[in-house]
Amino acid sequence: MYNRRNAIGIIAVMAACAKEALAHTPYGLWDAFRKQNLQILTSHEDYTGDDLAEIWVATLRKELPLSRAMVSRARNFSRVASLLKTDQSKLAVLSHKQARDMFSGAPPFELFAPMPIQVLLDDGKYFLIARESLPKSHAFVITAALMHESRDLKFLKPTKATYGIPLHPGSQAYFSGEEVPLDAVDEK
Amino acid sequence: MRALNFSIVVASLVCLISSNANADTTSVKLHKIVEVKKKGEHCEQDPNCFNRYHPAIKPVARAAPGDHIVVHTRDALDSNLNINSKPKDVTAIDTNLIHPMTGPIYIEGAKRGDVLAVELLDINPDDYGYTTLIPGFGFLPDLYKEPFVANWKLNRVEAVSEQIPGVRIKMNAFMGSVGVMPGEPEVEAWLARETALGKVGGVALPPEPTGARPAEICGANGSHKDRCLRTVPPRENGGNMDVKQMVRGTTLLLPCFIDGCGFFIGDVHYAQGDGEVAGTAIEMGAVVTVKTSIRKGMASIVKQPMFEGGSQIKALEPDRFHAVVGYPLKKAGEVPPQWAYLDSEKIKPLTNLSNDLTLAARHSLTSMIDWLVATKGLSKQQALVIASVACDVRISNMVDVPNYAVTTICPMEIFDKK
Repeated sequence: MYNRRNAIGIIAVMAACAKEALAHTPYGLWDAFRKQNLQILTSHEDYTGDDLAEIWVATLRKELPLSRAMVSRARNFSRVASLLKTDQSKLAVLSHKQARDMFSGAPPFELFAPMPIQVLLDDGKYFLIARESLPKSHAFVITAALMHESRDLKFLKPTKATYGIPLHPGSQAYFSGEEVPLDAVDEK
Repeated sequence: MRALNFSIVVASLVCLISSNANADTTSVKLHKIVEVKKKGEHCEQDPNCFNRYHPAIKPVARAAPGDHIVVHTRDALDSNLNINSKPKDVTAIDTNLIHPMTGPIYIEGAKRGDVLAVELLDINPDDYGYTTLIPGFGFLPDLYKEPFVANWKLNRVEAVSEQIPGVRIKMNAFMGSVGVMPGEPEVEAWLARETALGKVGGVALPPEPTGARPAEICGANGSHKDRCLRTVPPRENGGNMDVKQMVRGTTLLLPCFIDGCGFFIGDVHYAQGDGEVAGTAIEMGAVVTVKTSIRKGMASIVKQPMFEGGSQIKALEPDRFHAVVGYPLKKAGEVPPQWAYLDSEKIKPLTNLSNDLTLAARHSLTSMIDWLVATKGLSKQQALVIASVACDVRISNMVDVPNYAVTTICPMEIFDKK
């Protein structure tokens, strides 16, 4: 299953993510950064979520140092939705309410519906969510890295669909004990 | 009788004084003011703001030639950065929002084929500005991997930043983005050429409805969502030109592509070096005052932005400077990002390219950054910010084959004396 040597695979995670994003953002070179950093979005509208993301990112940096994980803090949740919707970013930390509203297209997210997001992890109040296009093996590695410290981070085993938001197949694979080969980086 | 006359004179004087009590020079108005203000926190809430170009975007104000047009502008990123912003706030910038413009303003009497002359009268800066290093963006995207932000305190004299102590940047403000709306033929021609560029791997920016304003024209359900041009590239209509010499007192000439021209301003820079090499200058919102005139039928000659002035350029020159000359030299095996889209394997093993100004600029700039780090005790990030806001990257020769030369000139008076 997961071990720290899998960290090497996270680089491929970012490479594949950025390749997709090229068509959607004005700066091809800008994506070079998001290719090299596991970027997790938060918002100025929720500093509790921002602090929590910093803790999760610190764990990812310890478990997966080559991921160069980092928090990117958008000005509000509409911008988080925009960055996810246009594939400028892949991951975000959202409270249950924000995730539910974003997924269902409730205000202020009407313009972004349908949002292609899925749950990776749940601590009871916040989700780590990902675009559904995050490859299965990448989601598996991220889930495994955080669950390695699950006692401290207080993660729950997510149910298959909370608020209708599906569990990401990579996360599902981790919790069901499935083997996921890391070289399958281009799968969706 | 004499006493009565005296009383009448005194009364008249009192009357005269009292009736003119407010009649100092302030009361004398010679110009009509047309003011276009911001509304709401960001472009998405502001009916006077747009971030895409299309002739279907309606004017929000009208002005006659000679009127003083006062325009309140937003920062380039339509951000919420502030004096306490951190690098992690920079990396979440949403590129769909760049660049917000205030306008368009209908200039009465201007027709397609005319030239709009725009004289810059004044720029009043916000209290705060920022310079960002956004990884992957700017002239050296492969060399800077970490985000950085310099938060500047601004006044009408100079800018200082806690992130770059011991440096004072003089205000040399200008309109980073200023222009007129394209017409339908220009939209189609520019979309076609940029699409062709994108197909060969160039950095082309197709229409993006997400975050586009005005939403009813350029947004996801907008009437022209597939034809709205991004405001990032400068084009023949002006826009995001970032020319530091367009300071107060100069006059910008723009060909008009639609009746009324559709004049706009945005993305004001407090100060910038030639090159804006970090990707940002000292970015800010501002209140800009201009007046316009119309040069009838002159668009047959003025087919792209031109500008004219007097001694303003001299005032931008440094009192003391250090300069570094660069040539088109590089390491063997290196393909800098600017060349990557051409898929050129030929240049990879070379250490010298022929007649290449971009590579000469890279050589000059990176050498200047090394010099600033070595002699001023700066980090590489601080040095790049200084180069972006204060140093000029200039063409020196385009003849001495194969080594065309580019020189980076940095003012030395910006550093506090120790």
